[in-house]
Amino acid sequence: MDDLTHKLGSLRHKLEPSWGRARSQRAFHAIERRRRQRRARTRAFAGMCGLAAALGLGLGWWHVRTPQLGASRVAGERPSRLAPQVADREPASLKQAASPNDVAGARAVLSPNARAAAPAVNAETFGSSAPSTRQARSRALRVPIAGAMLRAGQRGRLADGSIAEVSGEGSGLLVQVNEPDHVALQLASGAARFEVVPNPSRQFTVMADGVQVIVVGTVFSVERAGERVRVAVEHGAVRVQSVVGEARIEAGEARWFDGKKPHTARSHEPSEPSTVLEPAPSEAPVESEPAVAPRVTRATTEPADAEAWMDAAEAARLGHRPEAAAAHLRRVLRDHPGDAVAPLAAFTLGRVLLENLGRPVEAAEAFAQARKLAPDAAIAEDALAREVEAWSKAGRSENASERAQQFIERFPSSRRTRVVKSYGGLSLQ
Amino acid sequence: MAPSSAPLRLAPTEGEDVHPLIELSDAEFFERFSGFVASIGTRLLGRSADVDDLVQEVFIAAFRKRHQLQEPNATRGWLAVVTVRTARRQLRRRRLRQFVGLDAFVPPLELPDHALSPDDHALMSRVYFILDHMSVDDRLAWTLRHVEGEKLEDVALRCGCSLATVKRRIAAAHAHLLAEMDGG
Repeated sequence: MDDLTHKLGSLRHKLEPSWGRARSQRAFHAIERRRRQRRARTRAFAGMCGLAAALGLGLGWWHVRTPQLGASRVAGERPSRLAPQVADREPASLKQAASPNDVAGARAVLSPNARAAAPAVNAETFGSSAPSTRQARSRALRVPIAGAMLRAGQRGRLADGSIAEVSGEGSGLLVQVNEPDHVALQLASGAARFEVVPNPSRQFTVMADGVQVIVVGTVFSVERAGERVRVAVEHGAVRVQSVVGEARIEAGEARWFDGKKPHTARSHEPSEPSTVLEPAPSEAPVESEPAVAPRVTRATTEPADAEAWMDAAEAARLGHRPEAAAAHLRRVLRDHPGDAVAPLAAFTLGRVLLENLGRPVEAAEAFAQARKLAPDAAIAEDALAREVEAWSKAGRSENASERAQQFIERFPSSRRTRVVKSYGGLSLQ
Repeated sequence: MAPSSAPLRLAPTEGEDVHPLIELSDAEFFERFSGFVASIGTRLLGRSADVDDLVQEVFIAAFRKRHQLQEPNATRGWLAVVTVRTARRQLRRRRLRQFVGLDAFVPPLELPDHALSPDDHALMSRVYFILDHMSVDDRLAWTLRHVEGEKLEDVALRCGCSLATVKRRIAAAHAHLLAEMDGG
């Protein structure tokens, strides 16, 4: 690495903006303002479109009803696939007016949505192992967005028209990017099958444990088993990039990768169904065990700032360790009370204490602290509402009622009013 | 009250009976991740003045789609992709303004006073000045790799291109940078 990149690496942690609470609040208010303006513009535009549509319908109705202009049209006739037959039956008068063939021809130009759907029909007929059209239609296709996870038994239609199908209990396919010209998927666990629409200008990749599969247009499967990844191609070809290098897998081939080096199928591999395709029997199986990937050791140094403690708390939450999460959040509040994330730390601590540790009194105190740290921020409303809930669940009806009254006075038009009144024991009228 | 045995998660799963107080509000989501987006944005754009705009555009887009996120630990990665895309648009607009002469005065990299020494600040200002006059795609790939410290695979994902393309862009940007730094 040359001196410049080495220097940049050492300076990276200093290239931070001064993103304090005030600046954050200003930005959030600006976002709210822009969203309101956008909603108002959308409503105005929708109103204009509605008006234009109504005007167009009115003119069309008048046009049809006017005898001298509508004489050649059959009342109620709709342009359809029967257009050629209609033209044959009434050649003279029909050809003088706008021919239904013109309309039928116009309808034959696929809309983008129809165009995207058309390849999916072709994809359903790929290969003998593809599900039948009736079976495919019987299972609804989801349309995932970036960040969505497809689970076992789910099928997703991607933005480019390709289809991803996740199989096997415990399987998970993360959709990282889902755009018409770029699809990036990550196989977190288990196996998935892909029917990819051919499109050389689109980027389509599947990542599995460090093994990247690059696709142009094909039908293939990717499966994770332990620390290895299996790629099998039914139609077309794929390129696979792993740490060692690049490999090309053709139709009818299947290959295992362990993320370190590619190797061919071995004789003691788990037995495969007969429809799965393997390398030619003449290839000698590799008997030696694959190299074990070195384990990444966890960092033992403690986080240095509030943000890092928040990350540690979130990791503990997601790892079902609420006690650890609570400890990390208390650390943020103890060591960084003035940090921009402190109100959120208090709020999150309240949630962990209430929802996962069953300590509603402490939770109520944490929510109260969140409000105290950011009395004018948007989070104050949520914090007060949760405090009411916590006092109610702690059996402290007087506290719950008093906080509920405060909430209603301070946030009279909140969408949480009904729930807060319920927890606070106030009349719902 | 017995502790809940439900798994800890940020967003409700499909089909779950959602309690309105459990889901993360837009304000919470913004407070949680705005700093992260602002940090990436600062390093990609090189100008603090543009970061507020970038943060707003990223979260306006994020608020529309975030409720469909099913994996909380994918949020940062997803936001990073949105941020890079938004930064690309802003940088292209900046290049256009430069081309027509509307961006003659380039404000310096604004950071808290104690962040960089004068020498380091001068170095970073020079680097970002050179980046401002480079292809936007090359600049983004290089910045993600050498300033953000991302792995090549992640850089390719954020930039929406193949590994080979990303390597080529980074190499081109790096060579240009070194040539300008040596000649300057």
